Amino acid sequence: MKRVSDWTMEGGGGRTSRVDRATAHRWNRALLSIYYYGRRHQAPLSRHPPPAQVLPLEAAIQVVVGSRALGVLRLALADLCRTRAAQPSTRIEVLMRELVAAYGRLVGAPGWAAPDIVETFERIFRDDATPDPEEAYQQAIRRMKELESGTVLQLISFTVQTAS
Amino acid sequence: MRPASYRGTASFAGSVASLSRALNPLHWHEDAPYLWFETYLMAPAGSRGAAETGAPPHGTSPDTGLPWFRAEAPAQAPARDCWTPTQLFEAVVFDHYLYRNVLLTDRVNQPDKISLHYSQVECLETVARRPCDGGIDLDVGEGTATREPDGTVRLVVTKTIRFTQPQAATAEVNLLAHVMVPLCFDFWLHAGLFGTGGSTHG
Repeated sequence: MKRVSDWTMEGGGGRTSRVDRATAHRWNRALLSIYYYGRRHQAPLSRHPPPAQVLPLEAAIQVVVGSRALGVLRLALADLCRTRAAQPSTRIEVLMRELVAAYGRLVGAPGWAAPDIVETFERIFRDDATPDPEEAYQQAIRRMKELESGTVLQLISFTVQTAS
Repeated sequence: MRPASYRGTASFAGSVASLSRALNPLHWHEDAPYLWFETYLMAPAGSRGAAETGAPPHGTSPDTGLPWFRAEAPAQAPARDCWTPTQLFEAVVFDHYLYRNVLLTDRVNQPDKISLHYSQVECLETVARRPCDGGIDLDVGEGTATREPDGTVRLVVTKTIRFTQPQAATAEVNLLAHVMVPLCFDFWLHAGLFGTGGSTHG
């Protein structure tokens, strides 16, 4: 009897994932950890100790960097920009530059040297001394869009709120 | 246990069509394998058509369309672009757990509106160190993209979810749902803004 735990990259039919399950879980845990770090001071997370599943932020960043998966890197980098705006620290700055460097290597934007890619993300926090976290997030996405496609993204707004 | 319930809205210049793939769950396992390991439409209850594939070895309930042996994969229906209420099977990746879940979904795909609605049918099992029966008792929401009068695209996504397995970790899993849901929302937004094909190695 075939179980989902036995499925890897079967290919064809579009039913199965293009990564193996162990990798999927590893990337998922890393992303959850990065997102958790940015929300740990918000209710309801702030009312509880960190779940055992959450990785240290540095370890989660290393998993994302090592993934070389563009979708994973975008999610992590954009959210870390949110976090940096909400919780500025040297630690976050260093980790953000690691993510930007990994993202830049993957994207390989024509005409953009690696230091310039880092600089364009740093400018989010230099142009505005106290950026709103959601504005920082949107700025990150706009920069990614410009680097990847050369187009200007008009992301007007994006908000996520608890409905409960 | 109180469910995690969120609503997200986005507004951007672009086309409703750019969100077509993001709001099609049949592509989620391809575009975000770190969130969905598998997604497909299920063959309707009582069907024995030649179009269905992968019937579970021990058969399917004619009333529910669910496999008699819950560890087996439900029979698959052909993929399509829009559908009236149809059961969808998803294998959801959440930390080191895999939730094999069935939702009732419907999808509209029109030039000025794309919408996906889903609601919980039954969670077959949670694959952890040991498989557990069930795992989700509430999962409902929608994703809707519409063209506004000013030509912009408005995306609204909602999700309310509650986990029941693994029993020893339900408190932590439901706490992390407050992280997982915003992550899913961001994936949908990114998929619409950037397109797809970036989920695997560059």
